[in-house]
Amino acid sequence: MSGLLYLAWRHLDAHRGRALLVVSCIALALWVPWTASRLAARYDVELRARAEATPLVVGAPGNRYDLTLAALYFRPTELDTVPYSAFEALAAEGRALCIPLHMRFTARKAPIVATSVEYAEFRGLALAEGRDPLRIGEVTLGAGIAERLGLGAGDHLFSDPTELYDIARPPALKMRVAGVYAARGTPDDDAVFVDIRTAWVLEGIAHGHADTDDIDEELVLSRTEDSVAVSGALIEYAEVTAENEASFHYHGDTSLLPLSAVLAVPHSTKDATLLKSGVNARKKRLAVTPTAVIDDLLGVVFRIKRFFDLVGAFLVATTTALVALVFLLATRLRARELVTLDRMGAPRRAAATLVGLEIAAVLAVATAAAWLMTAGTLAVLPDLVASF
Amino acid sequence: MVEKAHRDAGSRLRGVRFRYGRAGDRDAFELAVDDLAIARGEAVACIGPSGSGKTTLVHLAAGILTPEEGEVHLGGARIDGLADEERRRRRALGVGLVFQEFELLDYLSGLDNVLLPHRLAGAGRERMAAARGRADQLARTLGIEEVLGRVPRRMSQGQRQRVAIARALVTEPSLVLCDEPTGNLDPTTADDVLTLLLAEARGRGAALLMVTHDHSLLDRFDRVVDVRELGSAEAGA
Repeated sequence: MSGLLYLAWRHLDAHRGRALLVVSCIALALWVPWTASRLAARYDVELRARAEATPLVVGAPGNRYDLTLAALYFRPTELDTVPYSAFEALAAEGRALCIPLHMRFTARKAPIVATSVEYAEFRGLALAEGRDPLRIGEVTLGAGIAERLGLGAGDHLFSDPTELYDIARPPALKMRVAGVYAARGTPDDDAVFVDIRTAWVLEGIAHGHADTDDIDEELVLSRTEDSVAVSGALIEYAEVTAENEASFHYHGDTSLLPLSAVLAVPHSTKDATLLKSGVNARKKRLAVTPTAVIDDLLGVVFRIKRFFDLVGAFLVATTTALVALVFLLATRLRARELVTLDRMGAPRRAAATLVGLEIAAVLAVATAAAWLMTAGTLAVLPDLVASF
Repeated sequence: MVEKAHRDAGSRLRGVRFRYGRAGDRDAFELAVDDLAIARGEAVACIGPSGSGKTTLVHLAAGILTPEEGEVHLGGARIDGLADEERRRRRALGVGLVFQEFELLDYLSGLDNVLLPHRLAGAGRERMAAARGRADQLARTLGIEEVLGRVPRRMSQGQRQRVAIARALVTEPSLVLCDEPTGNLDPTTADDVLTLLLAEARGRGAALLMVTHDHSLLDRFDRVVDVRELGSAEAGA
């Protein structure tokens, strides 16, 4: 056997180009279905895990998939907003811990998630450095985005301008990094967290500027006892500092300030049922259970995956047939050599053993290569749920 | 006396009958060998027209084919009744084969080709080391030291056949069987190769049976047999 092993190895070595080609074909044929299968399994586990951790999402009536994907995975989408009063009403029912969310803006392409301090506790976000974003204009970064941008507590980050050529829109806001959360392997790692009031500054609903008593009178359009109208030329603060923070204010009814969604964590199953049915019965809002939405979504994904499984099986079968043909033809080319070995007194099954050893070696190397390629692909792919 | 001669024989075929095809078939063929013994150190040439059974005779002597009747002895032991695997094992180490087309493995170096019989017999490390020593010695004698590291396609025809001869002799076989070993060589190279082959086989005490069509070479052998006459009363001339 050792002699035949040696011959098999030398034959493969002498025909390494052909052997590598066959190994590549088999490895690719295995890599595609293996990777797809592992990815699907990872999607399944990770998407469900986050959905299961989020009992209820309330938002504006519309597409429940958009609402769930935006609230759970910060997927960019144009959601209709709900007023802040909706959040207050839900909280006032006393059936759930309510967490406001507003996610219309980005900073260096990363989603800005405006929320309250309860969010970090709810998602189990621990601080790696600094503190939560407690003040207007402060951000706390997810671990991934902090690493990508090379930012830490004390650094600054600009929001992405929404309308470059519309001077009526607020400019980019210079925000101070208050802290960085530890990595969790969830979409939170790639988000920029701010206090909900900061989102309203980004919306242009809240703003700060110099006191009207101190500004140039040429910028004052009219002045009465209880109000002052100023020109649009008055420059708003583009950064919140300790000195100007007190000057930030809202105009209009604060209960109408917009939110993208409200996360509700009911105190019991009964509270969850009552809260959801109550919200949906009023029809002004939409309450969804993320697990049900994700189950629906994954149902579609896995129906498609079954098709790809079939394609993968066909690919493997085709490759197997082609590789078998290659070995069959190669064995025919070696017929004379195998006859010589037989005449020289090689064991009866030497020819079959020799070819079998080569096939086994090629399959072993191809399987190992496919396994490494699959592991490599899964390792270099960005976090799936985060990029969902 | 007969028994002693039997033991001393490198090879012996006695009362052998071998048939190809069924009786009455147009392609049916029968080879009969009453008694053909080749002593160790003896060189016998086998002649006969194409299709007369020369290669069949070589295959019977090597144990590649088994006769329907008769006895085949190799190195003093009867091999025709042995199990196939045992005959193969004895062939690997007891018979050296030299072919017209050399039949070297193109993916092995000259040295690996020479050591092939030992690998096929599953030799361990110690036996391989000893075989390596014999291979080096044969290479020096046959003048192929420089080509041991080359693959066959980088050797001349004469070098290939000399590597094949070294492969046939490396196990120190009791019988060397050659099927037209000089058929593909030019006359000068053929003469050189034959001289080396005969000298080495005789020097190592191996019985040698060579099939040839080249009658100019026959003087160099101890005996010449016509395969068509092996089934008659007189075997050999």
